[in-house]
Amino acid sequence: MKAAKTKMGRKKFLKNVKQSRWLYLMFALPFLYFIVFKYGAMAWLVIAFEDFNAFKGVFNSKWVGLKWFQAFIKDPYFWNIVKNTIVLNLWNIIICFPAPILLALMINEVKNKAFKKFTQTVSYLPYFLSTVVVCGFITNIVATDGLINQVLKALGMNTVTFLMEPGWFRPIYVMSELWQGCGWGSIIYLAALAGVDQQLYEAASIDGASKFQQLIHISLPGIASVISIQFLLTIGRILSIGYEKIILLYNGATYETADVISTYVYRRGLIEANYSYGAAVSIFQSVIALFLVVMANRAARKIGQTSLW
Amino acid sequence: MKRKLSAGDRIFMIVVVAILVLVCLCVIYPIYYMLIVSISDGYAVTRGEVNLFPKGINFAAYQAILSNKYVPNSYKNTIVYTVSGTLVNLVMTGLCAYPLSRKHFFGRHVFNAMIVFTMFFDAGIISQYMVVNSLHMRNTIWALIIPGAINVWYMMIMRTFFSDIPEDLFESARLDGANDLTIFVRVVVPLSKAVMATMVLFYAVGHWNAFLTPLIYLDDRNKLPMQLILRNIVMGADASVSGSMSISSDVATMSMNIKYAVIFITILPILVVYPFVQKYFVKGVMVGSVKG
Amino acid sequence: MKKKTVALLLTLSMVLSAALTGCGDSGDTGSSDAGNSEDSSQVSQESSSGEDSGQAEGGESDDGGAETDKEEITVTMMVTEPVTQELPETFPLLDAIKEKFNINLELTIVPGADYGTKKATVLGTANLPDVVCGMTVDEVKQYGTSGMFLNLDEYKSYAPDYFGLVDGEDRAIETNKMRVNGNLYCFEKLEKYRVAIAPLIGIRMDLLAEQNIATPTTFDEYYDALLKIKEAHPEMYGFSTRNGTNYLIGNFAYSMGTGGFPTFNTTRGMYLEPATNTYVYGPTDEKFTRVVEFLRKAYADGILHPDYANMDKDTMFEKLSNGELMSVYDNNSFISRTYNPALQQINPEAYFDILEPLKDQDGNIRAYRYNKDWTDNVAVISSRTEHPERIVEMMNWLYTEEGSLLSNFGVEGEHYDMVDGVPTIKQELIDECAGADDITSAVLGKLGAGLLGMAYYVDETFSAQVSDPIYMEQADKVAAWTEAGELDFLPNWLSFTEEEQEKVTEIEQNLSNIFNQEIDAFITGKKSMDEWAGLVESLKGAGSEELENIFNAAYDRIK
Repeated sequence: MKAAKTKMGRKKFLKNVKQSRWLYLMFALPFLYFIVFKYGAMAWLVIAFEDFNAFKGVFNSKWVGLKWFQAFIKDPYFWNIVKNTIVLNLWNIIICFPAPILLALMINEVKNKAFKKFTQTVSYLPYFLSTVVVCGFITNIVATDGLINQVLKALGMNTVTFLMEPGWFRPIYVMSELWQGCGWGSIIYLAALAGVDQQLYEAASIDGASKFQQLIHISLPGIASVISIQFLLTIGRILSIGYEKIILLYNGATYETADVISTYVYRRGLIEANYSYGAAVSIFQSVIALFLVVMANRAARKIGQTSLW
Repeated sequence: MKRKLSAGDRIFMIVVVAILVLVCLCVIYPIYYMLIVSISDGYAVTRGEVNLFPKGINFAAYQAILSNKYVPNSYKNTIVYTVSGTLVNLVMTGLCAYPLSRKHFFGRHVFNAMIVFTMFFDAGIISQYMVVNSLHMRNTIWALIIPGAINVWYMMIMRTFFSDIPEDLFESARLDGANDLTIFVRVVVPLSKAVMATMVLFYAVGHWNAFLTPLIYLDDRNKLPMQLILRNIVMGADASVSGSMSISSDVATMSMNIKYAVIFITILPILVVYPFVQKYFVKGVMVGSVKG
Repeated sequence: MKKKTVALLLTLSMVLSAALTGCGDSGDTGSSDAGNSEDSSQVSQESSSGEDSGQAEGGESDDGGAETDKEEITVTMMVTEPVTQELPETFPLLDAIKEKFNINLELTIVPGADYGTKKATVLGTANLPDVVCGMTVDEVKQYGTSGMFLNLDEYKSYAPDYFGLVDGEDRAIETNKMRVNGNLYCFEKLEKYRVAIAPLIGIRMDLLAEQNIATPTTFDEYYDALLKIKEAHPEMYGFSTRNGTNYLIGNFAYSMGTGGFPTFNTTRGMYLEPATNTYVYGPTDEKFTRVVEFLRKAYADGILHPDYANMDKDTMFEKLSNGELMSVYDNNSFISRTYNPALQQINPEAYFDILEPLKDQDGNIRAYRYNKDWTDNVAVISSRTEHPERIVEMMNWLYTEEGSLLSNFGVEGEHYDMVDGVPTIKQELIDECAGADDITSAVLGKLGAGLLGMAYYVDETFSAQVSDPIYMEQADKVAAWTEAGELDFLPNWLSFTEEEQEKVTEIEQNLSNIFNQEIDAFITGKKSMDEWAGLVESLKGAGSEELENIFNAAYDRIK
């Protein structure tokens, strides 16, 4: 909009606007939607700076400035839970992010239609299981008399009480995420692969490229833009992890590695319903995430052409 | 088309298939286990006798769920919410993603940034409740389909797909005198079947599984969707209402069956619908359309 | 193609109009307090607010005649439908309220599984219906200070029956603990007659007999018994728990002469020590090491199940009913009705029975039974309601003889008869529900009655009428042990002033973080007991003594 300052700029501006008029028309509704439902709701976050009293409402609650932010940051457990959140998310990025891409690429290679459909359908099923069911399953499998320990015993090794060992928490959590989300996550890449021009493959195979080479040089670049968008968005979630699964899997003995921001806030919520504190923590998470995404996006724009905005 | 595979390619394919089979096994066994538990005798399950085959086959759990008087109506509600919600999602997401994918859309960087921003500053459910309430949408279907009309993540994906469409297709349409809206409807949508199918799937599953929004927005018991009713049934079997409640052994032993039976009642319709979505994932969509 | 475009445009315009209406009044509402809106307008449809004819005779209307001269009003009420007992569309109590008070009670019925979330939304936005039922006492305290609930003390004259009960000698102190800043906001579910229930140790009597062990009466004997059984059945474990470590500790600590994490409360280490009548933070108590030593030894000896920290109720149920566990600390009702039948499927001889509370090292016997009354199931009235007097009157009526009978048993002659002065549900009504999993809740579900229905002065006579004899036998035992002073009612949680509450939250969170991270290491033997003193030090450093002071100051105010 700065362009509108000069006369030349205004002309150009008007021309641009005119050129995009249909697009503006189309965009009007979504724009309204974001203003009303996202920005309208966002105004509520101001309670992070208040001692919010639902009965008095946002306007009449007492203003306390940065009290809740300070309370959060000065908390003796602050660094530990932030560290745990980030580390757990890094595990996720290293293991759970590439897995659906690999799965999609592999499914894409399968020629047998029945087998292809079967794998596709089967792999996404776990996505529909509720967290409670999945965690129940995990606790059973890793129990002292569970499947894994039985195998260990058969191999003559000592049994492990997995859920009591801080060192085992992250692998268990990440494996369960992988199991549950890999198939579902691959759908988006399969859709992208469907759009890759088939002539490229034919040409390559005439040139004598092996299947693997085709995968690296045609399939992967074909879905690169989707991958990078997904990656940028994943970066944006580096400080957030849902608490539902963790509270079902952790216990005091594994707090050391398992306690993350959301579970910490959740436990506090058990003692008191402090919406202001919750809002402050969520703003904290958002600001950091936004910063990271801006940085990552800048990098992505330099490397490829993809950008979130 | 068909060429003989080279030795290297053959090994490659064997590895691929082997991995996929392994993946399938990892997924299938737990699901299969849940299926056989849901139809086995509850006591046999607690004794740990059900591992590979069902024992004492019965469908009591399914009967118990389906005989709940709220289930049929709630199932109908869920279908209505899913279909209408997905429709709105699709239209709104398309309307949002397409302009943002066009390079000549003046101000798109600003709009893009504005939208991405909302992803990170998600104000949470309570604030949304305030908005919905002040728009008098509470206890109506609108509360379920409008506030979530655009999922930014999905919108981004759609936008990425749109911007991957070769520019010359737009040029030829524009030379024919088409405006952006016509181009969107006639050129872009037909070319984007795969992503549209994905969006249908993602959004529909979201509506299908939704329980938080209906829970907080709907007050009338007859408007509740299936998920809420099913959650209640599962919880009832769990009987964790209060510490002082006691439940009979028969009910308690059935809790596992019901928990798992609910999964299949939820998944089944999606299993039925999925193949229709899947057929849009075939290769060569783009090739075919360039000709036309 | 054309058709498609038209359809698209139609959808568009439809959505557009919806969004536009939305935008119109969203300018200030997005962020403003929307709380004062719908609920009250629903209420006020047929009333003009100024007048209130009930004012004068309101006070003594407890069993007065029908007051149909009052104008008709609608009162909205949010209730939960407990998962085990349905709430019908209409039931006798609703008709009676309409007839007696000319109030149309409009119920919002929320599935029990998610009621907590629904309440959090309604309370967090101060968007209350006239009455919210099924509140926990914690919620009342958390939101009470905001002023969104009606202070019942100001309407005392409209609720003589209720106040007569809660201010009675046996309840006054406990009621004071429910007050927030001195104000009573809630209608509690009070017990008129209750089938006694307590968490107790249940043990496999068949195994005791098999090993020729006398029924244990002390913790030492109990432990020796488990050891002896373990020798004969090395694959079995002595005991375990659901809901994690603190729950396990909470079960044993009080009986062992100390305390902390009282029943079902897994976050709070504070408890009321009856010997001194003061609040004590359990983990820093000297005697607390007994509990840790006990569990530690049990873990080392294979008596405590190694997965104890992560068992949920399904796993527990499985391990109890497949014979893997020798004993359990759980409600007497669970023990008789839930575990035994399942266990007997594999071994007809096997059965659990409850033990009398065990003697601790000092020879004392004590254990908790659940709170008198149901403090976690209370009703509050919105302070924005237009008809506070009439709603309070209506709620009060539920505590009168007439209201209590109706809300527990239905209509006399139609649903129940008086037999020797005892209300007895008619047999045909019971027969109708013959196939049900649980007769009690099936019958009461039809009437919308009882604890899980709309009764506030709860009479479980009917439950006693149809329950298993063994269930009643155990209830009698619990009652007898209470008489003998072996079982204490679990005291209500204290309430604090706002400044106190802030401090309490902070300290409690710090304490529980320290304690939770360390305690399992002591139980599993990773840390030696020599290090215990260090833990106590760091707990004290985190403010356990200050917490005790705050608690005792608050307690002194209401004693």
